[in-house]
Amino acid sequence: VSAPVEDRVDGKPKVILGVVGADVHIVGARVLEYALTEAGYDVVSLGIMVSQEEFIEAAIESNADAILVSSVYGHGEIDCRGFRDKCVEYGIADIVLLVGGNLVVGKQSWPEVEPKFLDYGFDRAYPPGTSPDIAIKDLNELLAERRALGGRA
Amino acid sequence: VSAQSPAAGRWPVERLIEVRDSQVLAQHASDLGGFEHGFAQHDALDHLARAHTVMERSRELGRRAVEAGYGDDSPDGQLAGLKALEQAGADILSLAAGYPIVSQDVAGVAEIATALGRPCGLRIASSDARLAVEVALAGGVTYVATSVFRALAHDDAATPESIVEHHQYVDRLIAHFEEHGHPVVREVAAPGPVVPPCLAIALVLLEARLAADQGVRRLVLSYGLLGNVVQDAAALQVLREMATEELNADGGIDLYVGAAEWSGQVPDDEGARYGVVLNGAIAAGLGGADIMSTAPVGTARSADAAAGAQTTRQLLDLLTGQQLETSDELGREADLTRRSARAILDAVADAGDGDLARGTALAVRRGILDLPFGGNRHLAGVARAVRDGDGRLRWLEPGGVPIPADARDLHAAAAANAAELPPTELVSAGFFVPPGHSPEAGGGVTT
Repeated sequence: VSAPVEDRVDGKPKVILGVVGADVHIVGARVLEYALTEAGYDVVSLGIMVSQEEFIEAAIESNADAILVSSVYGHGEIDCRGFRDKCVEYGIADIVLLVGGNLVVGKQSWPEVEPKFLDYGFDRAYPPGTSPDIAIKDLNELLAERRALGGRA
Repeated sequence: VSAQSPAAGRWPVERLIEVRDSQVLAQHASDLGGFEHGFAQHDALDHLARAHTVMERSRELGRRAVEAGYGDDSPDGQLAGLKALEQAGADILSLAAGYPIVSQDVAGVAEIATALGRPCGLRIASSDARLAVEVALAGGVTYVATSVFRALAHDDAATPESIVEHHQYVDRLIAHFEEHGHPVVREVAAPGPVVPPCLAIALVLLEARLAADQGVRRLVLSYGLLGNVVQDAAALQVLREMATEELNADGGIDLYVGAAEWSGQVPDDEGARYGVVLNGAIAAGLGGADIMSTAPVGTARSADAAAGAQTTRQLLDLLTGQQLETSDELGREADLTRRSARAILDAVADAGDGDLARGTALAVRRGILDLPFGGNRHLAGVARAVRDGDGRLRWLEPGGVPIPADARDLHAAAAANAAELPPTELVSAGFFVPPGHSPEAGGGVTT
């Protein structure tokens, strides 16, 4: 069970960030790490090649408010399928989940791609080239919403 | 963290053989025999299918060589892809990620190498490329592109000490072929991606010295193009100058400067992607690179790889004999890069207390060598790079990378001036995607 943000020692919401699966493309995650830190988030960076379980265990261990998943090498569908179910299994069913990057292989249009990832249980999914500002704005809103509902964060 | 430090100094051949038998051959069943099979394979190669000949001839003719890679999991697809690159005008045809070299084994490589009219190369970013390089050389590969820092950027957990030591093995193996009359060109691949020029140059110089230490005699020092032609051309000039000073005071090394195509994010639109490829070829041509490693125009498909090679070949030919004129701007950029690279090299030498292999690994752990976008957990991960308002890559935060104070100030000012963008957009400008750009397509392209 997570403490409300305002009760935290430094008052900063905490997020877990990493590159999922066997992916080593870290540029986007590093950019996000910088932007999130600048925006006042406490970022726990797991780096490259992070499994679903590692994301979730880190979130439990550090009592995080959200998990941000980066996927760039095209295997996002394989690596992200069942992510929310896994969170439920580990007892953090209501944690905020965001995903972004080159999520699929080939020239699939974003309107085809986005619903798949929402279906895996992500609160939001982002196409390549999305400014970090957009994700941060969404994250702020989603965390406020969770707080208002009395849940995690 | 405890780690066994690699030590500098040339390995005796007995050590090469001992490690080969006890570790490398034990990694995976292979049809590798003794070295003599590889030597015979090299003997059988046509004159123009040897990398050192092609490099020497290119230099004599004043033309730039083109290296292109392709990876396919089927032997037929792999050969067809490399033949398409040869047809497109590439000089060195590399087996790249996607070709399972170890499981295709020596026979698979030999079939490809003997079917090509130009040299077969290997391009690999593994933290332990020892067996892959063994298989490649035994099959007739004469050009090996690998790099300690490229491996470090792409491997989550491997220690810097193990990566340095595995590269010592690869270099000692290449030297063994050389000593027996079978020249192999070793490319010190550019550390990737998005590394500021002063650090990029310092890293390849360090690794080239480690390779030379093992007896490697033919080196391509590769610089990863960043996109601003003035900055890139200045970096290529400084690289050549410092490499000659550092490595070749006595002329004992056959030294080449390489330029590697931008390896970060590229636009979704195919036409725009040609712009990135052409921009790279212009910087390589005007900066005086001896060889350019091309990237596919788009996805890793064979046709895209061939288009990238053909476009690059054409542009480099058009630029023959042309160089960027010396200007105040170019001079300032070169001076900044040279002094900062020197400071980094000095700090690594200090860290190793005279042992460069040990110093390199220690400098990674101490954050002296910190890649802005490296994935390895042993990197400090503090350094940050951004594009300034002119599109040049600057240090937003050098972290522990010891650049001189005035360079630090200049970088900070340039980063702050980056068109006065808010911090997040400043960072996004590190890509070839303009700030605020939000493409419709779901499947972008990454190399």
